[in-house]
Amino acid sequence: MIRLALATVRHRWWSFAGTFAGTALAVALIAACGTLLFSALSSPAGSDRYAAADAVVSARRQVSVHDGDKTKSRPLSGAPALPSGLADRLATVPGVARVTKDVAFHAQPLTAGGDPVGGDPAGGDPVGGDRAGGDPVGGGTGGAPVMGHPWTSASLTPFRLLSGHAPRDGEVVLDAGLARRAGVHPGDRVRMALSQEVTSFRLAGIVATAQGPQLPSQGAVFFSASDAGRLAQPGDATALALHFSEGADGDEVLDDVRSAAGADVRVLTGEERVQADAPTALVSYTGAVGVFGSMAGITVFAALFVIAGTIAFAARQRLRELALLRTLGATPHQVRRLMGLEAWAVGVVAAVVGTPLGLWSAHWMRDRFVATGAVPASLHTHGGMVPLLLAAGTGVGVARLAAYFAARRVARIAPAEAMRESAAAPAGGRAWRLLTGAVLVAGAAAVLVFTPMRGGIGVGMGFIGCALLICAAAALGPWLVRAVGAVLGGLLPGAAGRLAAANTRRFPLRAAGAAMPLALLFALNATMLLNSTLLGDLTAQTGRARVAAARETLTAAGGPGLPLGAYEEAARTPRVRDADATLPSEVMVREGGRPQHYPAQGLYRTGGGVLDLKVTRGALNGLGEGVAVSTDLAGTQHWRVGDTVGLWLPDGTRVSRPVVALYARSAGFGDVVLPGPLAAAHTPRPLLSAVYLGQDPGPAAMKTLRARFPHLSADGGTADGRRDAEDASQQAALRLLTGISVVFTAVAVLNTFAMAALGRRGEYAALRLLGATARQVRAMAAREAALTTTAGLAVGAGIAAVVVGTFSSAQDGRWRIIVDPLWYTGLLAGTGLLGLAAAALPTRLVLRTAAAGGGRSER
Amino acid sequence: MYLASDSAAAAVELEDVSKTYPGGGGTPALRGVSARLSAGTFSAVMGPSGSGKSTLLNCAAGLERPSAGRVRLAGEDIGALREPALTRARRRRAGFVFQSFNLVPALSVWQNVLLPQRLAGVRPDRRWADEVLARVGLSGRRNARPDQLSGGQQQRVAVARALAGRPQVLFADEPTGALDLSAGHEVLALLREAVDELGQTVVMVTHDPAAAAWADQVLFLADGRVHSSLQDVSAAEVAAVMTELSAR
Ligand SMILES: Nc1ncnc2c1ncn2[C@@H]1O[C@H](COP(=O)(O)OP(=O)(O)OP(=O)(O)O)[C@@H](O)[C@H]1O
Ligand SMILES: [Mg+2]
Repeated sequence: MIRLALATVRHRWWSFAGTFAGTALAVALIAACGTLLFSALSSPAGSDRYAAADAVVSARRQVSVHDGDKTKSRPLSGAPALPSGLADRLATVPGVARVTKDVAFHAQPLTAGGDPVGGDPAGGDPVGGDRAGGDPVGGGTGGAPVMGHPWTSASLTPFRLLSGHAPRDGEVVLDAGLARRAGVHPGDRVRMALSQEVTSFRLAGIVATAQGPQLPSQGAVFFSASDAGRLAQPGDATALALHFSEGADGDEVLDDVRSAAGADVRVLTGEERVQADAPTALVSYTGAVGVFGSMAGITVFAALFVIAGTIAFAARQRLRELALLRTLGATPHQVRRLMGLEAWAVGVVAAVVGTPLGLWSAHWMRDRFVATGAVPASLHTHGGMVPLLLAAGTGVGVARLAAYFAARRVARIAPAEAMRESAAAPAGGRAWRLLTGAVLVAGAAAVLVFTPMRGGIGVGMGFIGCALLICAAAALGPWLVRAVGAVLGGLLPGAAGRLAAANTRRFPLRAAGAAMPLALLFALNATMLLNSTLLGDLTAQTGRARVAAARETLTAAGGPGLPLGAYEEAARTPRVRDADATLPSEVMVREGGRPQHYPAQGLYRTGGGVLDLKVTRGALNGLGEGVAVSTDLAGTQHWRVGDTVGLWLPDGTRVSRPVVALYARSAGFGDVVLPGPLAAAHTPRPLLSAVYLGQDPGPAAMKTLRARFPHLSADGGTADGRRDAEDASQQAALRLLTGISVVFTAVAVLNTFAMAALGRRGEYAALRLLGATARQVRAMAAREAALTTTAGLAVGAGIAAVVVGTFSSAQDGRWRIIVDPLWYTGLLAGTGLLGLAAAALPTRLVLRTAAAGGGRSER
Repeated sequence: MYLASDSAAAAVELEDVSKTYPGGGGTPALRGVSARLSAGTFSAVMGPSGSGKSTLLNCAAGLERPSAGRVRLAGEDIGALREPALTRARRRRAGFVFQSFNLVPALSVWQNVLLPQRLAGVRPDRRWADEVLARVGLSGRRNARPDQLSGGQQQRVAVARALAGRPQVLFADEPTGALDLSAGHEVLALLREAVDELGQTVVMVTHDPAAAAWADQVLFLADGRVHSSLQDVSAAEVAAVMTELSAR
């Protein structure tokens, strides 16, 4: 049996080549996505600022909800305060020599020109470090965060003085990387952007670690103890670093420390120490996990679809040969085993080729995604063996499973079929197909109708609905293709046209096998692209409407945000009567028995305010100690104005506040509006994303403002620069993701069409013997391709219309299908041309060889 | 209606066999056919196109299940068997030669000849396989691939393969249909030889009177029914019956 399997693989290499190519590519893609996802989950959260400490203690950064006997937890974006008196308690534990209270707060040096100087962005990559060094604007979104600490914290790494001396009051010490990029030397004055103000300090000295001029991925600034105490917020002291006594038994001391510290506190050692650092100093891979996660979802689906499709396709092409085996005494079981062995063989070789290809693609994709800015540069492609093995296993497993189902069908074929000219699979699967299709359509309808379709979740739900519909279309493919063939068949002229229409009608499974990858290509990519574009457009539109009344918008150019002082100062200028400032934050609410993250904004307001959030109930001006909630969130939570609602703030503080207003313009903003001071007190790095002024403050006032806040950027317009940059990088990441998916699905289409053409060598040769000219055969093939392509596009466009339409109407009640005419027609035309070309080229090749080979080749 | 003498052991017995194809629009391909073919004889089945010859052969050989009636193959009632028992019965009792596409294109001549025994999981009788391959005159081409052989050679390999498994009945559906006169002659001579020298039972479907003349008896089908049967007839006699059948 193994010999027969191998001989068949050798002989029908082209058919297996198709299966092999599809499977290998799918394995590569899954391996790449898996590697990236694992990399994002396991990349270092930051550099070890506590390298010299034996252990670091920090509060547990998560919120837990108890629901019956189940406990669901979600990580906090901030850090809870440590229990008071903990430092004293730990100091008395035997074996603990010293307890250092570590403090980390936002403190960013500015260049003479006022540009914020960021930390080394590339996570220790020396090339990246140099690049950032040459870039004078190495701050903000580009550079790594810069944190201020009391001088005592320098010993934890340790940082040692290269020159100068320890900071006294009014002085700072910078790491060598920051000092170089800021262009300052000891004795110079350097302006520091802090969370409240921009203040000038004297540079007392420059420090470096034993490894280099700076920590990879964060910059460090040291202040005198009293300056640090003054500048830090209560929430900025989040870690206690422990030094053990000389000769103490580390494990024993750790046990004692753990029992003294209590359950709410983590005692971290080794690699884990990093996690005690300030939340804003840590690199967040949440965005990367999101991007790679959705990529993994899409590609795994497409990959499985492609593998299963090509295997079923290849199986149908050799029905006759398999039937012959049945007449020669092969039991259905033996036929299944033969096909299973072949699937193993092809799957294993494909996995062996696919995984290294996937690893290589992972590196390539990582670089591209980092370039879009959606993924931090400190992400290293080091997923390890697990995703590779998973991908290989998935590829082989799915190939085997697809072969199992294909073989189950094929093995039922009556052996007498071998003697008929055109063997067809038994019609028994019909009821099964209908049933599967109906169930999948019902599932898709349920997803599209009953799940929340708004915002980012809606994009994900749209994808699931789309995937279900594609599977349904694959199940119902023969009928769909026949319907399209019936409609268009009559329109095709000539004998070739009639033949083409007849072929499509008579062998709808074959036609569907080629049409469905096309439908997948269009539906999946169109849905993804159009839904995200629509969401982006609507968010931008909502954003513009929100800030329409602003005469001047102040943001921090190249920095993470503006100090609170910028708002206070701007609101005080004589001409400005109305002003708003927003402080981006986050809340968690209990939803379905688990804590759920929602973006939030702290709002500072002077006069009547500037932002128009389109309040539908209550009033924002009475925010006071209350909160405002988006109509979306209020809808899911059944909250109304006047209700008192419970929220967790980023540092885990639980607050109960009355809802004073509901507002509609939440897209790109947040679902909860908190009073500014409340948000500032509980958000790590409390900086203003923007200050909106209702009146032009005038040039003189602007000059004063700029002098006090050199990194302030006033664009007079209404856009929020940082937001736009984020949107742009997200859009770029999305385009890249779509590109990858388009290329993969396009290759799958090419592959299927090539398999189809090669499988019909004999038929074409027979037509030629009947007196058809090569031209006529080509014409027939071209018309069939046109029918198949049209069927694929019709099905794909239909699915996209349903999903995009539902998504669109969930956003603002309007039913859009095309959304972006340029992208839509581009994708439609591209897919169509691909289908036609993919059919024409292999047919041409086959005809050339078929003419020479005559009827001798099998079939 | 019975054929041959009742005293000889029956290789194939059909009792009131009917067959209606699911996709055939309800018209039966066989309507109550009864026949009995003795062991060690060469039978031909004839009839106009569409009269149900292939269907009869398939039902008799267990390739297709009759809609009604009983089929006995070398004494075993195969009409009641389901897969995989049916396949196992077929392995032991039947060998096949079809009009075309007989050989697995991926395998060499030798591998093709041994394939049924390999599938059956029995140790192939190589000596015998060698001998039948020599009998069909293809000992020298044992490593050739099917697409390197002429149509007649392919057909002879198929006969060798059928004989190599020592089946109780060898079924052939228009084995000469795709061959020219001399190649067809060779194949028929081989079948005749198998009956005379090896005592093989052969059932052959054909629409060529000259081919039917090689047989011991000829069964005529028309519209899914047995029309008549003749023993030891000449090609001219067969042609006369066929003309009559076609004219109806
Ligand atoms: N798979 C099938 N589905 C439907 N009808 C069938 C099928 N196979 C055969 N038939 C029908 O059954 C009848 C008998 O067919 P069969 O193949 O037995 O004829 P035949 O005598 O072998 O003809 P020929 O000499 O042309 O080979 C015909 O009317 C044919 O149309
Ligand atoms: Mg026939």
